[in-house]
Amino acid sequence: MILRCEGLSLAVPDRGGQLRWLIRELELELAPGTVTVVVGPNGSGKTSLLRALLGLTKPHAGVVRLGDRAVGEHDPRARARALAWLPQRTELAWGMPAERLVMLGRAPHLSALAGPGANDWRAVGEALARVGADHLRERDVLTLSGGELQRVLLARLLATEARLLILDEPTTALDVGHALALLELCRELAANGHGILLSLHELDLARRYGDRALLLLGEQGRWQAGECREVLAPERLAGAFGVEVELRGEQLHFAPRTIPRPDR
Amino acid sequence: MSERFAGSRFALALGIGGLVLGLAAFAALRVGPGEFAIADVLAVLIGKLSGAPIERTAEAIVWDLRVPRVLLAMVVGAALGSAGALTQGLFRNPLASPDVLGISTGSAAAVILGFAFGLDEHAAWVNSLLAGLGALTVLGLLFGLTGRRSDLGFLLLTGVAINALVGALATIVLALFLDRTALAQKAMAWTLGSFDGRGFAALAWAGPTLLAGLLAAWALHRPLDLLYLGEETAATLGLDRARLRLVAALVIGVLVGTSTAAVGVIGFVGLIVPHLARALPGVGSAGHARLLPASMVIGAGLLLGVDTLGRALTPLFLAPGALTSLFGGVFFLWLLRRFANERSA
Repeated sequence: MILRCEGLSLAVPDRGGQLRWLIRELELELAPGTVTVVVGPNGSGKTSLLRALLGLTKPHAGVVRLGDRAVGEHDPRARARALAWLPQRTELAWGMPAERLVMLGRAPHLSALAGPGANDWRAVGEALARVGADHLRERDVLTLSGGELQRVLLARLLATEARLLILDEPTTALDVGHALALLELCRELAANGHGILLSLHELDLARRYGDRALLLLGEQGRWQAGECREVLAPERLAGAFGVEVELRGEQLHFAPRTIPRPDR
Repeated sequence: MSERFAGSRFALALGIGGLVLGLAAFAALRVGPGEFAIADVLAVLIGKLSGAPIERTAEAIVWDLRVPRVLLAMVVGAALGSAGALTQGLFRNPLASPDVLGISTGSAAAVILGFAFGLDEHAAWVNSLLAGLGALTVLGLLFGLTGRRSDLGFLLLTGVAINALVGALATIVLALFLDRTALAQKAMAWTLGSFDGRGFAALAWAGPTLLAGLLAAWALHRPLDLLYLGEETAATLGLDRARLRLVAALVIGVLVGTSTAAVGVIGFVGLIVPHLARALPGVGSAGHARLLPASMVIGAGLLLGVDTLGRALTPLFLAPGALTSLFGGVFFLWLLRRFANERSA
């Protein structure tokens, strides 16, 4: 299935009660086999966009389609089997073994009364193996390190067996080694036919791992989308983030703006 | 696979727990004013079941007074214990409970308001309905005021405010009718919480209602598990958030409301019991499918114990509601300290 935004517009009320546009008339497609990265300054609406894509919030205008129907019109369980989300933070109220947390990802497959079957345990095992967290199976999630927990949460995402995955800043809590491993996994999943959309703060990583990119400018809802390298070119990033950007080899280098902005 | 195997062991443990509870309830029938041997109690029960003649005093005390009261104490304990587990799961907050969040106070205030207008004299279920509506009103306020925030402290503080507000309303109503001594006494006795004088009449409506509530509570175990990941993530896993909130609120309303209407305010059972249940091996890690039944058994045992202790000490009146609140308050302070330590660690 394909997830597609048509004329999607998102806005938040500002202090004066006026609408501030985060995104205006966005056209975007999340297709199987690709990794799409979403970047933009703080407050530019990355998380709001992802939540709208999942049908958690209603857009101000436009529509998000999953397959042939609006995302909100699907049966919730059927939608959950097609489209899955890893939020930015998951607050854990109490402990449980990692494999039980991963099993929560099987919810859209479980019938109302019967408990998990052999098939579900197999999916949980595969998901844990996929993220290299086999050894954490029985560990209490409250005792895991940030990197270990993120892998378990990722396994929870994979256990849904959804083909379309949306990840909100999945690398934020990770050290560079874990972050690279996660992004490698995203590439692998895309190669296996998953469609992946993730928001990232690290622009270098976004350039390296994305096929397509969406750059949110955070001003009047403007955005740019297209091939990753084109969208994340130094001059565009410089404009979006208000910094000096230079590309040396494959590496982006950033410096604060030295020339005062004309509007100051 | 390991967990499925442990599932049969949990069922066995639950069965043994239920059996122990049954035996304890039987033994508890002996306790109280009047000298009865186990054999006397047994004779009454067998006589009732087989129709054999029974000694009149024994029948009056054991069957008419104690049996319904013991059963009521247990079913109310199970109801309050599982209502606590439901509340904690629904708000994803281990420090929440119907008492802490003001849900119980809402029930109590509604019943006192009913007393003031003499509504309770119409039918036995009126109190139950009022108490349920009071609980639902507070739950609605909590949902409305806390919104999507899952912050531990914010929810609790909102509960504190609602508790104070609703409690004040109840006090004002009481104060306005203070000159009507009978009413004031009734409200006071009821606020203290008591199993005294609850016969088959009380059990006849509270028992089935609460049993239905307990079943409904258990049926919510899977959506409650999903909430662990947060409301929005649960929604992306196919959970209908609005429906769960409504259904869970109704179930909590039935459990807390009917309990409060039947025996008055029995504080903090809902806070303590789920924590005791979570501490049992194989329960804490296994989600609500086990937490709810375990909380029911422990809650039933706890109130059976409190009631039996109360009867053993007759004619001294040990207000059971105050007694559980005393334990519960200390327990709550201990929990708060533990959470504060975990956060700073």
